[in-house]
Amino acid sequence: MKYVIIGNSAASVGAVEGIRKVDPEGIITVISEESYPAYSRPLISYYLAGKVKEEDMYIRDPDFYENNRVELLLDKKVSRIEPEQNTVKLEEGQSIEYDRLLLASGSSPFLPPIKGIEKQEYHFFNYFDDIKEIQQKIQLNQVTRPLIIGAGLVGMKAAEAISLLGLPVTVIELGPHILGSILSDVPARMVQRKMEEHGVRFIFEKTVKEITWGEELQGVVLSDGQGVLTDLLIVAAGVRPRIELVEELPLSKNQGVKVNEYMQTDLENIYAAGDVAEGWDLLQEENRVIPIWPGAYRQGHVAGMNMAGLKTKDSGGFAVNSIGFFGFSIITAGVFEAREGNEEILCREEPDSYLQLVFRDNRLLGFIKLGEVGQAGIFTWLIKEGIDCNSFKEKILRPGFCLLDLPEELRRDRMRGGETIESPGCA
Amino acid sequence: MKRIYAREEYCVGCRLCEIFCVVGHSKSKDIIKTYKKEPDRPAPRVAVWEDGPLSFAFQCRHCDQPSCVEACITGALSKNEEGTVLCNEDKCVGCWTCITVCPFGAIQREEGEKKKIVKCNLCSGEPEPYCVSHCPNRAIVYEERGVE
Repeated sequence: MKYVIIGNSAASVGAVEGIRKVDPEGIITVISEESYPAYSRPLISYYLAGKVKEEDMYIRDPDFYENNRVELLLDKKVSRIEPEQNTVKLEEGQSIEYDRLLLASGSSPFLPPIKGIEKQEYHFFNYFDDIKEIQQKIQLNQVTRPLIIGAGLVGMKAAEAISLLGLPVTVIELGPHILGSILSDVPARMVQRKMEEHGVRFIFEKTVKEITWGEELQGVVLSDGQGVLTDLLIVAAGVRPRIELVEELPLSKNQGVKVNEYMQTDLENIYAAGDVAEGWDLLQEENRVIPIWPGAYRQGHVAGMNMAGLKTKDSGGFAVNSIGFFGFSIITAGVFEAREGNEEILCREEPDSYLQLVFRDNRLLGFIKLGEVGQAGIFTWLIKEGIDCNSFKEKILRPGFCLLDLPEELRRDRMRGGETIESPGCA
Repeated sequence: MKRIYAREEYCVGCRLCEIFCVVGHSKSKDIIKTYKKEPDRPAPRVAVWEDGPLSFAFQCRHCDQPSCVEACITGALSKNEEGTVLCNEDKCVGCWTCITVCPFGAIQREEGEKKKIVKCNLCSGEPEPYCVSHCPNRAIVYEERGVE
């Protein structure tokens, strides 16, 4: 059996490990456009801030590919997939045959339409090489006024890292508050204040209309005509699934590539996992891209086992995020706002912490937890299992909620753990 | 695999398991030196939960399909061949993603400046985990229960 995996991040590593659980013999080829073994994308901001050294960026030991007998092709770009011939063609002309193909090409950063952007140097904050370029500019003292477009997860981690390097960061955000994909207004303001205390400046509800330059980058003009000077422009305006390789193929896709519960696309030999795939969203009950690291690994792992012939269903997932700024932690999962109008929202707000729970029919649908970390996974478990929380709902809101607060039967079930209860897998 | 199980009917909440967990993960493995002399005292990997007469000790379940290992963004968490879920503390950056997905709330944090998780490693290399061997009431046991 010949396996080909396009991409070399979480989903790809998951697939290699999934395949090898089932098939120790088959030939695995991993193709990556980048020049590194699988590294942690979430760690790139840690790297820039000097918290993680280069050798700790890699998510597996150096002998991972050798031990799993993987042929790793770095700096190679796939130009097309030829499903009739079961081959993948590289830009440099080489063809690679497959019996099973995994599309784990991830997502690529979105470049918003800004006048003059094509003429100027801007940076994304998604790949290791992006960060190395930014790092070089900062080290050469070429940066005094960094500007970030977008206050999402990527933009905020960029803001934190650059601020930790002692530079005054300005962030321009189209929406009314930061982290719009995971936070509602009140907790977002709380996090914003923490960031402002560290010198990050925010401009909301504005877009960048135009980039101005002389010999070098000078600044940007915002939608209201206001000018902001900058000498380092970072674009963090979201990502899009990289479906260009399957654009012409007869398989269902919306934003991402649609997959069934076996992570298989409409073409039975082609699978997809990670940011490029529309897997099952347990809460929204639809196929959707959920671009998170743990989900990418899980999907890749399930895809790998299926590719190797062990029928394994993916349980589906939902958004789960853990992120922090200047030591202030944010953990969220599921939905954070009323959707159908029959949700019940409970909140506990204190000066340095915040907890918001969203229930529907006494089942937890989502939470936002700021400033306190412990036991958050029990919340995630309640969501995943759809547990009726009616008898202990008020206890969930209290600080220090833990297994003790569950009804006896559930608590005993948790205490046994291990073999008797299948871990629900991460979201 | 052998796992640690709590027997709540015998637990009086004395927290000796927490104390001896710290000792078992210290440099000297000596209780006096651990608490009086050594500068970087480790955090306990086991937690005693207590509410009135109900109490029990709880630590990592070493899941067959550990969510934390799947979710770890650095590769610090792994499951070894014996089934023990281990954390390479040198690689942990304290992102708390594992805490976000652990369905048991069993992952602890290092206290103070060190921003890292700590978790039960079944006292690798010891015949019996410290919490188990030092519990005066046998309220924590280490045994193979198989599938119940």
